[in-house]
Amino acid sequence: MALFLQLGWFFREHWRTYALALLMLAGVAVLNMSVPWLIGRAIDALLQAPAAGTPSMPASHYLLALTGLGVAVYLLRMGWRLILFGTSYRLGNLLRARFYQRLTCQGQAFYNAHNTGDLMARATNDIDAIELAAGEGVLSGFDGLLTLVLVLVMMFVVIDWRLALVALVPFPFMALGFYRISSAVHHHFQQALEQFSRLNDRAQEALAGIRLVKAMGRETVETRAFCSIAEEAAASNFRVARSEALYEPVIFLSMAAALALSVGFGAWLIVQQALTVGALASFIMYLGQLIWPMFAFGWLLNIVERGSAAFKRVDSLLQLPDSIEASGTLQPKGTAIRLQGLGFTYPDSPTPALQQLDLQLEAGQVLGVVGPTGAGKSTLIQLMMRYWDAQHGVIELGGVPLSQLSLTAVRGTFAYVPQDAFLFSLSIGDNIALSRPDASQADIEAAARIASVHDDIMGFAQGYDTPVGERGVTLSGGQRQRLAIARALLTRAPVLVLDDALSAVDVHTEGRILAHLRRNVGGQSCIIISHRLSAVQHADQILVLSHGIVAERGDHAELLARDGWYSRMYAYQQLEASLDARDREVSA
Amino acid sequence: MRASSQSTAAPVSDRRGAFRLLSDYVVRDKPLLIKALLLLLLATAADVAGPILLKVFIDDHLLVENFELRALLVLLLSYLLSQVAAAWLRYQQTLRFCDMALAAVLDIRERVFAHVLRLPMAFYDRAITGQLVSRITNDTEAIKDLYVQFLSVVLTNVILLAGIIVAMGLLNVQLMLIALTLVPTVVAVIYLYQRFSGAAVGQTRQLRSEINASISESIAGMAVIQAGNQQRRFTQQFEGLNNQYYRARMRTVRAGALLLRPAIDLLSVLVLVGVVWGFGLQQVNGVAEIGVLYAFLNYLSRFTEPLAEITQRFNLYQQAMVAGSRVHQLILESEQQYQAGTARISAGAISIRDLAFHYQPGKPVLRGLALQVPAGGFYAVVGHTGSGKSTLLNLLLNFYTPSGGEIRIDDQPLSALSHGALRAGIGLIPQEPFVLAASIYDNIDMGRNLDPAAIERAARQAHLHGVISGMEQGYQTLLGERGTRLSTGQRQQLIIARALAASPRILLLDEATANVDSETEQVVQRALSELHGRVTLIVVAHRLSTIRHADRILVLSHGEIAEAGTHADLLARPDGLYGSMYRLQQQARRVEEAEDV
Repeated sequence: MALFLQLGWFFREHWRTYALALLMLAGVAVLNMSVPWLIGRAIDALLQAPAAGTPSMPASHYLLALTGLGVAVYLLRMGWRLILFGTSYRLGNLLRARFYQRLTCQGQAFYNAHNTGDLMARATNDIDAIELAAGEGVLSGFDGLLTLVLVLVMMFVVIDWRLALVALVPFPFMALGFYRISSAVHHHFQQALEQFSRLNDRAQEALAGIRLVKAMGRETVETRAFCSIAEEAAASNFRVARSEALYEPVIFLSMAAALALSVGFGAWLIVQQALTVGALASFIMYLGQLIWPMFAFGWLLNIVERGSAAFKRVDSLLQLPDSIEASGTLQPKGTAIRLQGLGFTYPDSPTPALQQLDLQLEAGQVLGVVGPTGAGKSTLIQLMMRYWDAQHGVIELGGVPLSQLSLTAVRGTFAYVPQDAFLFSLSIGDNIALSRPDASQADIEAAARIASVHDDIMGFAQGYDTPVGERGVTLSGGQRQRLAIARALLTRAPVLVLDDALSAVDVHTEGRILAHLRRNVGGQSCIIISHRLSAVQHADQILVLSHGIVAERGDHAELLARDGWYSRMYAYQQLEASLDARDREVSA
Repeated sequence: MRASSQSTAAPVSDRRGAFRLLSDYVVRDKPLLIKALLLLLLATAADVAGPILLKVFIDDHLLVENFELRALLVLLLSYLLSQVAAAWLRYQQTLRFCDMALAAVLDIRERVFAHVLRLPMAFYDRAITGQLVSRITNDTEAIKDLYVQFLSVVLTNVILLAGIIVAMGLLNVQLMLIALTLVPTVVAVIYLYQRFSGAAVGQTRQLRSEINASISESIAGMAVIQAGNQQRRFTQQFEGLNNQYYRARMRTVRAGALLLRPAIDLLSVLVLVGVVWGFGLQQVNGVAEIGVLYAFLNYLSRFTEPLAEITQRFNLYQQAMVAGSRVHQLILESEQQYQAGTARISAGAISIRDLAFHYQPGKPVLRGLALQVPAGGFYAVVGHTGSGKSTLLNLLLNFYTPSGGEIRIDDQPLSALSHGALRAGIGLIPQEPFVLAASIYDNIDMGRNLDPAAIERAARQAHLHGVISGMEQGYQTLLGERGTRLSTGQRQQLIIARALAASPRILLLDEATANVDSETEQVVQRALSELHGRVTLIVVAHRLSTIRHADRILVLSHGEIAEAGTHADLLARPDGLYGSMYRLQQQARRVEEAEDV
């Protein structure tokens, strides 16, 4: 029940609506209590009526009242449903919106620690479980309790307490049975879910490795392994079904026993003139109304348990502080970048990703960063943009340490193009204008021209309105990268960062884009990370990183003059290019 | 419902096929079906007998004050007996139906899985693994739900409803007719509900998946959103979607509140009033017995529930039909045909003539390839990505059928060899060493039930026997996530042992040294030189050092052999492709050396 305390803020905020819904529920319960009573009175009235013409007046009054009551109950039921479910849906909405809002505040450290599947599960299934507890949980708890109390009052006080005492003997057994069954169902259901996910894994594994399966002739072996899991899954499902199938006999036997007891004892009371036939009929109808409360408590325990586990998971993320502390307020003066003694180690990594890095980049200069995979090139950029906080050294932007600048200002300084260009399921035009939704069509097209992607876009039937993604066109890796460059250019941020952003573009297009950039950027600084050295050969300064350390630095000519990684790699790439050219010749 | 049936509409023929697939299973195990139906009928009869006995007690004993002990005891005993019997029979019947349903789904799952594994490789080029997995698991799960629910809920409730109506008719036809009006009314109400809520339900589902898509896309693209300072805009968009979702759900709740439970409950109160009124009319005419009214009250309390249950399962039925038609389509895909001949690969000589292949028409991958490999020869294939070298291996493994020319092994066409002969005669060492979470023994055996001696021999050939013997549990040592971790080199040795265990005559290596350190490369090289001359070796390699001792090296370019000869021959050629590749790799090594400085 701790869940209801944790959700207290919500209940307090919406106490009026909850109170109204509960009032309506109570109304329904009370009115429902009168149905058997009215029927009983009507029967007695009918039995006493003189045998002539139409049924007696009192009987028809009772029946008329019953009809009116039915309509009233109908309206009240409609009302509480709308209010109670509506409010619980609002809770779900609120949690979902907060969750999303928190996601937008988290930096890369957070996304490294939580995988997408887990975050999705919390945003969907867990919030559903909380919603269920706040809606149907409240309903079954309140309504079950109220019905129980009212039925007991009617039985003991209004009809006959002796009869009630005798007839209720089987009900504790029913409640116990329900509780045990509900626990067993829950337990077996968890197992069935696990088996199902094993089944999924097995199928996934076999199909992902289909080449090996076929090459080794493992079709039969794999099928046998899959079948044995499928059989286990079926066995778990059978256990679930067997537990669930127990509900009916339990209800049935308890009700039959209760009915036999009340009719037997009731008959004796009638003979003793202590009870009317109609009252016995009402009593029997009340018995039927006791099933729901017995069931409701087991059900309540289950959903509250699930909702409370879900709430813990969701709440832990909602309470998590931002992974980047955004307390800075200053604006940078200029765009010169200075790094001194920069050092950074990823959490859970034994070796530093960057060590002792110094750098001075004046506004308008072009910096090239090269080096083997894993040398720390992207880490360097992400530190400058404050996706992570460095443990050692200083980063200054426009003469102000990064941590004193507002995060928005830092991010606004850079136009960052990552290697795996991420496109949203929007139109091509909206994807380019992602950071400037108000950009004019002319601006968008100008950016696309510089990124050499305008002609590709015009090749699609819908041009800039072509949707991207599942329901739209599939773009090649090179097209995606060039779109991402256009997107970055459109922001007009003072520092353009290409993080291996031309890897899927061929050499000639790369040259064209870089030439466009040199002509157009005027005043914009540019940081180019690349595996292909041709992309950085015009840079003002080039850093060669290796294992997180600056191994070489200088401009293209200086680096070529040395027999280091740069010059060797340059020779390698020259050889590679000539081999490619030769290969084309051979086939031609 | 309209929206969902639109989005999931399948061709009629497809639906019919799916329907046949699903309905065949219901009648597959006739004895079980008959037994279950019999149990169901008996249970229902015992069930509805209860209130009739109640009526007899009230009318024949209570009201006339006839309390003869023996008759009362008989009545009580038959009541208890009928109710206990009903409970037991119903439980048994539910389990029988559940058993049938689960057996059917198990069979469908096995059939689909075995079928999918036997689909030709070309099918997998087009298929998306995630979708295939979903067909095998999620869709069959939906079918399971249908069977379980349909058999145990719908069928049971229909019979119960019929039983109640019959029992009511036996007691009093006029009152039964009043009660019977509930059936068409409830059906009409549910129909109306489907009409009104259909669009909203479809929209809710649609919005829900959009919300999920939006969250997952935002998580994936968060760096981009943050880099552009667009958090606020995306949050607002999400909230818009979220609110739309809320409104759509409220529409479904409104329709449900208007027409589902509250309405059905109202109807049952009205019928109750009707029955009591009808009873009153009869009583006035002096024909009614109060016991009949008791029995009717009892029946009516159980009358609405089955109706509501049945009608609420229709959504499930539609979902299962869509799932069923997808599964059915998958089953209709034609399997790869293998020959049943007894021919075996005895020597391992390969002869390739005029071999041509394309994945897509107009884009040839291999063009007129010709090659003679003597038994025990060591042939290497090198070339750029897209030169056709992997395709050549795929064709040798009979994964695809050539579009022209022929591959012969030991002078018999590849296509004439049985699946078993191929798998026993040709071993493959793939690029990614795949280790099962199982014992070392099972990892070498791979379910082929090989001779333990053969497994040990293969481990010796791969120089792994010594390492295994040194382990505490020897060949039974568990590998994989929770077991012992092998070094990269040992893993490669394990893969070699696995390929050698069935004593293949031909061994194919698919870039087995592409992503390994030089130590592991040496493991492979040593194995190759020891096998040289004993097994036919076809080695596709990226690293030229792996193959410098090959009898013949083929340089593929755009699906044709551009150069061929020994390592020395090829290097001696001025301007040769192989020579350039070799120099490139030399340079790559120099670059690597510079990295470590």
